[in-house]
Amino acid sequence: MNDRQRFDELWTNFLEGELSPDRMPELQELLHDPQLLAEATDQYQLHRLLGWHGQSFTEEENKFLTTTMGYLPADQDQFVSDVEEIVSKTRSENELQTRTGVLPRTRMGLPTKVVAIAAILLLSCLLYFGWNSAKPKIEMVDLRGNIILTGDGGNIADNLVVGHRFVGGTLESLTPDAFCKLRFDDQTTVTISGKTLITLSQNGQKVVRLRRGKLSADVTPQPKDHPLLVYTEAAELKVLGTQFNVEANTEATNLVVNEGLVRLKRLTDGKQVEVPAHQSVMASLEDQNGLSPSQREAPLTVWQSDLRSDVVHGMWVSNLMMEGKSLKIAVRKGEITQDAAQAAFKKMASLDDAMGSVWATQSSAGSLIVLSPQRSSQPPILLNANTRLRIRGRTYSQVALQFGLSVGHPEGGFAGKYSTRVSAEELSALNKDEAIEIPISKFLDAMDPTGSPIGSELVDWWCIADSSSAKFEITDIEITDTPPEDKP
Amino acid sequence: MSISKNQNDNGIQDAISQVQAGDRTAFAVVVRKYERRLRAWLATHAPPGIDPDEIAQRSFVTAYSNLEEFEPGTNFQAWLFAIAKFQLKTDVTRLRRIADYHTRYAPDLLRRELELRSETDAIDESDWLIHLKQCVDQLGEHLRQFVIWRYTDEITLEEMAHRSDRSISAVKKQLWKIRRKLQGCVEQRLSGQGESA
Repeated sequence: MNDRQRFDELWTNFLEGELSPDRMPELQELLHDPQLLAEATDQYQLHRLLGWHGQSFTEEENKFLTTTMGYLPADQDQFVSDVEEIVSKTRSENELQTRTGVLPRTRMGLPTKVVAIAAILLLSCLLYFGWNSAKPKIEMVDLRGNIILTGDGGNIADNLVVGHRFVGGTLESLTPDAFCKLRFDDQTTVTISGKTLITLSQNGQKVVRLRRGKLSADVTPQPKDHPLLVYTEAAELKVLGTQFNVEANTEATNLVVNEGLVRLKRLTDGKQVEVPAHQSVMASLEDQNGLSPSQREAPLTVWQSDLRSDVVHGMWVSNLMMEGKSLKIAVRKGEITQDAAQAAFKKMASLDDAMGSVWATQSSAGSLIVLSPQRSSQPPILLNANTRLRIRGRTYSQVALQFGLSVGHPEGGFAGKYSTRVSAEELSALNKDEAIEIPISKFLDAMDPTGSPIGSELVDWWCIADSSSAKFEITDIEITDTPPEDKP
Repeated sequence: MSISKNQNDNGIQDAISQVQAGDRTAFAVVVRKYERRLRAWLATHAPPGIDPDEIAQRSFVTAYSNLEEFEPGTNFQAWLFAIAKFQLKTDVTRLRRIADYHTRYAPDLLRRELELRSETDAIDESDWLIHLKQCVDQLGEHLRQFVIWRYTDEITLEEMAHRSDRSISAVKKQLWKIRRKLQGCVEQRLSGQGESA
């Protein structure tokens, strides 16, 4: 039986729910063939759609509607009117009972039940409205760009200003040039940067849930039994007092400790590790191997992108994948036969599939690519006065692009955002297979013209168009450190 | 055609305004309008181990809770689907934490390919659904019977083998052939539609 027949058999068994776990590795192996994987996924999608299509629509839809409406949260007004209804109903019953002399009355002349309900309502109001004012607050001490806070009681605020105070909630920075620095009452600060989503609470203990993005924290000494907790998809961090930076996405958490000690627990297997100053550790959902911190390396002043690993926002597309798709379309259009396409693909499959590019994808602020060099480069990248960015790629829309840098202090902590704009005319060099070079001096902080990224470490690099329909791809980025006299 | 679309869109905008003004029940109009296409999209992009209807419900509840964030006049469907994609991604991440996911539910590569497609595929699968229905109708009576047994009546392979007087492996092979046939039919119709457009 050849691979094709074996695949047909295994995939049929899989779709019919009859594939035993010991056959799964064999199937997984066969699916490394991109064509079989595409076919398997097509079949899976068709199978699911047939299953969905086979249901009785009217009955299913009504059931779905009823259940969904039942899950909707009751709003505050609804809650109050429901309670009012109960109170008034109880009062009527009690008045009736009082008139008939059945129920004993309180000293104040009100039925006990009504007093009790009124007390509960009063307590609820105190808890809801009064308690908040006594709770410790978090203050926004610096912010830039598009930031949204879903805060106390579910209120959404997007017109945030420095000095805004809140008890807790979900904070989202939506654009790559955005950041927000928060200060707790005990002077602990947390800074989020770029496209980041966090939830903060402090019920006797500070808890930060980093759903995605980057945060940097400077934590003052916390009570031993109530350390600051940071949760990500992959890890839990316990912090008693220190400076650290964390980057989290849906697959991995990268922790860099600059001062003190942070205990990290990997959530997939519960493994724990203590990370001291100047060390870092990566907890990944995929990699279940060792969890040992590594020493911070001496910074470099040059960098070559590894686009596949570095991409944070945007889509990595390998050249092989592009060619495969072109062949598939050619077969569909009848331009070549299936056999010829398969032969051509097999020939190409021996090529290095690490070659490719990152395509800009939509974001709320425009078509966007974000790369984080920390994902592929262990040593930090120090920017100096000779730093130049050399960028290669292609643009398919006549638009200007903003290139930006997020930078951190070498001793830890967020240091700022700097950007520069390149016109469509200047970008046309990219389409002639030429690189564009931008000296570091061109990167400015729009709010602080005296600021400079020189002396800071590169945290991430972004490129954004004003329009979300603009199409462009980046094929390579390089940071060079060439003194002016050495330049050819 | 465009008039009725506008009327529909206006209906949705009205319903959203009513919900924003405090009429919770008006949200039923929104659910009715989008549930079919959202559930169909999720059914084809959720990997095994995830209940697409649960994600769809959670997406509607999130949309309801954050309706103030929605800008009137913008594309509600795109906004709703963005929420659903986020919910799906969260659940896929949860699944990945299950140590034996690959052996218990699905090959990891399928999950990754579906994740990739959920980023790139169009969100409106109504063309696909229409063509699929037509392709099923075009099947011969005998083959259509297998589709009904498998996907509507959801009877076991043993029962199908018994009813069709075949072996179980022959039934599986038959289902495989039917799916391939339907796949080809839908793709052909879609490419024909693309060419004629």
